[in-house]
Amino acid sequence: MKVMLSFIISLGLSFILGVQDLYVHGLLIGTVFALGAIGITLLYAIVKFAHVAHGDFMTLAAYIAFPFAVSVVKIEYVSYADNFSFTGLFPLLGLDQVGLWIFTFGLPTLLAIPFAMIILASIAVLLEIFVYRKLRNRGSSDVMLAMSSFGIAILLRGIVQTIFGTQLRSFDRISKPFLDLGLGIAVPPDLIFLGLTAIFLCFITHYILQYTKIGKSMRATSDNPDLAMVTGINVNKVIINTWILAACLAACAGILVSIFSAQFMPQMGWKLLIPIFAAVVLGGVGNAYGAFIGALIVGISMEVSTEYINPAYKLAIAFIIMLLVLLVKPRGLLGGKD
Amino acid sequence: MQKKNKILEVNNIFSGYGETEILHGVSIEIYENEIVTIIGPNGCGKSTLMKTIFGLIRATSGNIDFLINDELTSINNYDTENLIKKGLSYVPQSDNVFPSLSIEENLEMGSFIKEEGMSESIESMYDLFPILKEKRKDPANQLSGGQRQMLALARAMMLKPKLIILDEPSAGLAPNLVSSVFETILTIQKAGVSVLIVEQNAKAALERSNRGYVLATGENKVDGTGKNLLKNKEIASLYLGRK
Repeated sequence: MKVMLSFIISLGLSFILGVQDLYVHGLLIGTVFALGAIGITLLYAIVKFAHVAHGDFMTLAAYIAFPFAVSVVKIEYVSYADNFSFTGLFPLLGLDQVGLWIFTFGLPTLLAIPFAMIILASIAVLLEIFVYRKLRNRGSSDVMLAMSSFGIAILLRGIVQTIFGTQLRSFDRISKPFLDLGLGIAVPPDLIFLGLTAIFLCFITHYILQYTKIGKSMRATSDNPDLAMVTGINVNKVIINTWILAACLAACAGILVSIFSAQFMPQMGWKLLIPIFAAVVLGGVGNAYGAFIGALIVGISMEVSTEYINPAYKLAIAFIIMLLVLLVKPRGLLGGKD
Repeated sequence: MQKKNKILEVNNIFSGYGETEILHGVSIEIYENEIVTIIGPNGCGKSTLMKTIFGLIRATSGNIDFLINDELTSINNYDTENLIKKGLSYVPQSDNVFPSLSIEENLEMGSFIKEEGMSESIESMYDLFPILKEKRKDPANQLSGGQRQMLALARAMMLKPKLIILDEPSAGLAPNLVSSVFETILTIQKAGVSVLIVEQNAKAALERSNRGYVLATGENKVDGTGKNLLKNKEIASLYLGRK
């Protein structure tokens, strides 16, 4: 397979150039971009618009998990003086362990992930029913829908900032040493957890898309919505399922990133949007497998670039990739929807 | 010809898009195991008629009755899913397969609303169209034009409908494929299904139809057996391009 071959060649090249450490970092970070990119690309394929609020979905998930997982939840309103704090739900129930096995985080953070998934998916479904579906039924164009999701993005971030304030937050953690994998590769253990979890979720998504009735109806609707309708597929239901899947992946991505970077803030997801969109475009808009491969390439390119240029510019690498793809191969590596 | 059961009766329907009324009182009937063709010039309301029968557009007045549990029942207010359940199936004119899904998955989509008996249905479709079995794992976009029509028809057959509505099955096909598509339609009829065809290619369709209707400006103009319509001089000059 071409993909495997290019992967092995590029990995070999990274050893020659002595950037294998950054390569592996980028690969693992890329998997978490993939969680976001797959969601955006599926939404584009089925709901037919670029979901700009996806990054803020990720942020929101981290803040949803926050009061579940953290031992001291400080609520600091932007406009009120009477701030207060309380004990998070799981620590209240006696679960306050940190530093699980080789990792920095503990069980409460992990347990909060499914809760964040469920809550974020519900929010996504409500937004679909009360905003996007209404706009579609009114005949709004896909540009209008994308712009309205931009509005939703700002709204969600505003809500997060109003409740939790703008300062950095973090899940309970203790520092752990890097894991030496040999061959000059050492990674933080959390990054390995992040990569494995993300790959596991991508695999589940693949299974859903290929082998379940829900996934097949999603692919059918993406192929030909009119035919799907006359075949008896309830397109609105398919769209809801897509939102649920995309929101669950985004929730997990948001929390994984927060764990890995040891902190999060309201702008976190918004900043992730650039590499994620670059991954979507690189793989071919509307193609879930393209999004996965695109995300890995973007992740690797961004990390490896820090060997040669100031790390502050690594977001620019994502931008450059996106621009080059649009100029040279606008349908992306694996070919997307028109 | 022995008397057969009527399975669809469209009685004096009026329908259209929004303010624009396109059908001004059209009536047709279809009996069991019959191929019926509707012909007429562009814009006469053929497609509107199909969409109205299939519930994609609502009739503003008139009745559409369909044989449900051996009784003609009004289906005016049925939604698509319900109509499919009751044994009506529709094949759009173009884009009538899911291109990136495999042939087998396309057939699975045909029985999306009722999964029981799916694998038997798929097997019987493979018996009917062996070429589809050969390519079962291939995506549908690798099929030729004629094979696509075959797949589209097979998908529509998955839930063993009583009536299949075909919108211009020969549109966009090379002339030598047209007859193979009509062969497929005859195969379907032999399997005990009635077929309602809307066609531009009037001659090919009428030759193989039991009966036909000619629509003009949203109203019935002529009807009769397929062979009689072909002989009719007026129709020949108007719609078949013969003097």
